[in-house]
Amino acid sequence: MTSQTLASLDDTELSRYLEGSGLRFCVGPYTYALRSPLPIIRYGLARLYADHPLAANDGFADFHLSFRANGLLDFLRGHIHFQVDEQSPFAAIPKAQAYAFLEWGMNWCVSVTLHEYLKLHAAVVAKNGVAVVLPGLPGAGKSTLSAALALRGWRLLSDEHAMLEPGSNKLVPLPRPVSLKNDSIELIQAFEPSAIMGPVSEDTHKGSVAHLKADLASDSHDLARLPARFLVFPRYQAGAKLRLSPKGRAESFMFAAHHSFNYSLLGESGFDSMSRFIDNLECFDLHYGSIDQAHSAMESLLHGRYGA
Amino acid sequence: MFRVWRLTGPARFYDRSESAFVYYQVDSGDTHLLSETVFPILKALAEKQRSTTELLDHLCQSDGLGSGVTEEQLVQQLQSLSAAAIVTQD
Repeated sequence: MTSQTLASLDDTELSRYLEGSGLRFCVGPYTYALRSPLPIIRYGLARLYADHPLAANDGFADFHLSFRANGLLDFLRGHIHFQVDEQSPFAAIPKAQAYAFLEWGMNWCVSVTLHEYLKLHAAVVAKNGVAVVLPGLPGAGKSTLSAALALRGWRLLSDEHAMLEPGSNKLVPLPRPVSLKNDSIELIQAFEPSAIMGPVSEDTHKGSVAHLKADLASDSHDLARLPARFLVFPRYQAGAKLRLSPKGRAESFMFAAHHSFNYSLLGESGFDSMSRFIDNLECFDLHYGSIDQAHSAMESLLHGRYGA
Repeated sequence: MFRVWRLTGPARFYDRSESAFVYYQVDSGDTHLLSETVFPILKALAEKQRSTTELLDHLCQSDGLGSGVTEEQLVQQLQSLSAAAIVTQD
């Protein structure tokens, strides 16, 4: 890692890296090397990754990503291939959706590797050194909630992966933009009009997708691992009354295992890691009908006023 | 010769004295959320395989299922656990 951030590159330099040897930038302890000829990728990176540290241009990268057109058919269709380590794990995609696929591809890299950690599909936010893990099935509202919290002074450690050191409850920070879908995009823009959004990818398999710059805390790119203190299962339902209620440890264990990328893969050590993780947490269900409600509930957690 | 009940394989428990506990099957990795009512049954079978009568005696002595449990109720529980491939009868 260098002391420079992506913001130190002007548009010409950014293009030169992206279209040449690759742009190397850091996300938490990991380095991505990215090559792309697409202006939409350059635009999205400049808006959303401005504060990410750059890595040495000739140094090691954990993940090598690229966008490439493969032949005349892709050209005629306006399609492009997203590649990881020179392999194309996905079908060709419309160029207009490339930014969303970059973010999904970066998620995929973490999901299918790094099995030295127990990984949950969850957002992680923190305040005053206290980390809260927010697992969620699609539609549960974890990304909308974590976006809102990031815009209200919480630190975002991750929108997608809670990565746990085995045998501890320490989380690896992986700060990246928050993925917002459909109604959540306007909702967050209304919640905080100064929020910085990346390109909107329309008509994806998830509908419209945009990403929010969420590394707004002064310590967003601090590499120190943070202990998890709370496990909160959010559930959004329009108009619902706020309810923050304790959840049993055994039930939380099962839900967390269900939300894990690699609990099964880790076998008995996954069971041990999950047991220790859950034992070190207080677990809650959070049902909410508005992000203001959910924000106040999360603040109450920090101050020990559960159910207040 | 009495038939005996046993666990289908080695197992781990995550029990924090709540209304449910987690039962982990080491060989398959299958993880179940089970009612606390079957916890003493599985703990007893984790110690050793037992016939229905032996299991009933053990549970009544340890008061694990309450002294009022009947053999019929126990067999029902065991059959449910068997259907979930958690216990089997030899």
